[in-house]
Amino acid sequence: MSILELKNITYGYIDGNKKRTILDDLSYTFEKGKFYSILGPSGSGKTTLLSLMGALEKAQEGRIRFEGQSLDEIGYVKYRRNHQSIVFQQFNLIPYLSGLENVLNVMHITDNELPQDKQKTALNLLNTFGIVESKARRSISQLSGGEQQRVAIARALATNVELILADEPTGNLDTATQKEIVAIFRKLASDYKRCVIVVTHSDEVAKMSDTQLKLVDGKLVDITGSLSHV
Amino acid sequence: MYLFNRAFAYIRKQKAKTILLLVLFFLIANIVLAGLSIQSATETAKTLTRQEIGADVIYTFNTSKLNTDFRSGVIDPSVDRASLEGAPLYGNLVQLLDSDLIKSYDVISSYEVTTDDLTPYVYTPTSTTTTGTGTGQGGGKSIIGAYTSSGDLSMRTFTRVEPQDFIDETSTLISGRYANQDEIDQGAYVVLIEKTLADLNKIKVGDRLSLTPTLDGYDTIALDFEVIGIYQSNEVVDDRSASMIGSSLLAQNRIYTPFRTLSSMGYTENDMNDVLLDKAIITLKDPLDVETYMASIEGRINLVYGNISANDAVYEQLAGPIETLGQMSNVLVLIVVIAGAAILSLITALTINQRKNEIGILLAIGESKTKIVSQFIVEVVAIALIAFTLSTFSGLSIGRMISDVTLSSFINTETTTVVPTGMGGGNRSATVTAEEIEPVELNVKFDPIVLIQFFGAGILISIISVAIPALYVTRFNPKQILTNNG
Repeated sequence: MSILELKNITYGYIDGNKKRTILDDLSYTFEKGKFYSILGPSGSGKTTLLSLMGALEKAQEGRIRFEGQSLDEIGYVKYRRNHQSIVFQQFNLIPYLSGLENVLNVMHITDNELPQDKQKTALNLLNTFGIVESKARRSISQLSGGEQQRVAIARALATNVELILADEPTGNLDTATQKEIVAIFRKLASDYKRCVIVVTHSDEVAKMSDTQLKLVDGKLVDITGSLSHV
Repeated sequence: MYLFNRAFAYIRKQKAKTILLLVLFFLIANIVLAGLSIQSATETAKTLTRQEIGADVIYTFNTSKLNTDFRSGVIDPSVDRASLEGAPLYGNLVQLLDSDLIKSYDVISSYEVTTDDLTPYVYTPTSTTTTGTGTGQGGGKSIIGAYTSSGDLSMRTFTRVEPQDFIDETSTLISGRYANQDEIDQGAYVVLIEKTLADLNKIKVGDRLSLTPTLDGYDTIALDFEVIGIYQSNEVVDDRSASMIGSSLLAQNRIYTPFRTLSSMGYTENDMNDVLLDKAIITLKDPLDVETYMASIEGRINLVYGNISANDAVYEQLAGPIETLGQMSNVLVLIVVIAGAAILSLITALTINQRKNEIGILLAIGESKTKIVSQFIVEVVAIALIAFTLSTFSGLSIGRMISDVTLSSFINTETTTVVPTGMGGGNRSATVTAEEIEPVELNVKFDPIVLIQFFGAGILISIISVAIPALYVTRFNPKQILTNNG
């Protein structure tokens, strides 16, 4: 069942005197309950594509529909608040809040129905990712990179959204933790029927996804099963 | 709303920035509050000074212009002063009486009388005795407190129950009564005579006197007056002055009678309008209406040789330094507010610029621009409120210190003067002197209205200084903000 439809998406920018097209009439449909990975060389437009899917900016041409409704109809702010969450490469946590407060922050922002005891829910979620309560209450600056990324992932999952986007979520983590995180993404897709889309350079991460896509000449190409040739 | 949690978390965690902003607000607030408190205190002091001075407006000759034009030959010293433009004629005074702000007025004019019923008091100096024969300008049978004496005694008129001289305590009623309003309005032949004169002539309340006015056309008519009261003159006698003037101009030989006795003796309304006054005192209902009244009468009389004042010189002497302090504090407040707002805006703009990444993150996770800007406003307003509250007490102390130091350097020393008697019936354009008024203290104190204005303006400036840069940043999309700060 489709959740996110990209139709004729085009995006470019002016480089000196030339117009450079990154995404060229790109169309693809993502489905619920699947774990996608998007590969491509640096500068191919992976992060840009993720930004468009996350409504961090608007496509210059084309349309994005979420569960049949265009993002213009839903409203970009409402879409970001209630229907998707992003795990950033640089974590992008609020620096003066603790790990727990960063998770509680999004839980208070969203309009989605959440358990009454938000603090307990947040602590449980953080604990799932190996962030115990004492660490969760520390300032972000007192956590390691891996711990911060776990907090970021917990933040992304705290609002019960159907679509989870991640930009190199395991880039700063050790191998063991990478596997843990990817396993969580797989579980979210398979058990909880979320749509998880991960932008990655890592073949190992890509191999663990249900569908592997590659950005080639501004378009998404399905390369599932052919990773040995990437 | 979680924005409050974020705001207070920021204040707690970002101690250095919080303290910087707190100190800045505290300094600005102290100076502004000191200035506003001084402003408020000076306004109150000016009002109290005006109330202390009273509500009298005096219409008299402009003696300085008169003397200047005499000396320079512009006007002939023998000119009939009643013909001078703006001279204090009764007809001119009437034009000033059309106002709801007036409580009462007193018309003071003088003319001389002769009598066989009274022996005038003769001034006796400590070493020699002289009789006042008088010298001066012209024959002077006109109604003016001139420097002449052709009669035995002088009549001084009044139009209110307690004449001005008695309000000023130049004279004090010691037996009998004042004239009532009916007697005043109808020009009844009633008089108040001085104690010395009364004792000299064994006159008591109830006695009758035959007095002949030395006025052209009336100098053969003896009028029958009733003595209704005896007063004591409190005027200080200057030996030199008293020995130079005629007996009729001595305070002891002054008799008070209603102004309208002139009508009773035969003056027509036109004659009354041409009566030259020593001065007229118009008392307003409220001292604070002085400026309004003065504005309302402007232009009614062409005051070339006339002068209308509301004890202005005394007011300026007492309130001038206070007014100067008030103006200085206005300027100080304006400069500090503008400079403070500029500095504050710069600091908050720089701070928000540093927090662009945070703004991008909040937008990316779905927070609204309104709540992001509101969070920044909450942060600044919370710090401002703490600083303003602390400065409430220190600001007042600073205000008192500034006003004490500044005011003491402005205030002039006062000198005492002796008021001479009988010199033209007193052409002073004041009913009080600075010496008579107890100086009003400048009381810089807690004023709720000032505090409300101060808090209100301060909060408003804080909100504007943070909202403008914050709104500027939030107009970008999240990717632009995060990319530029990544």
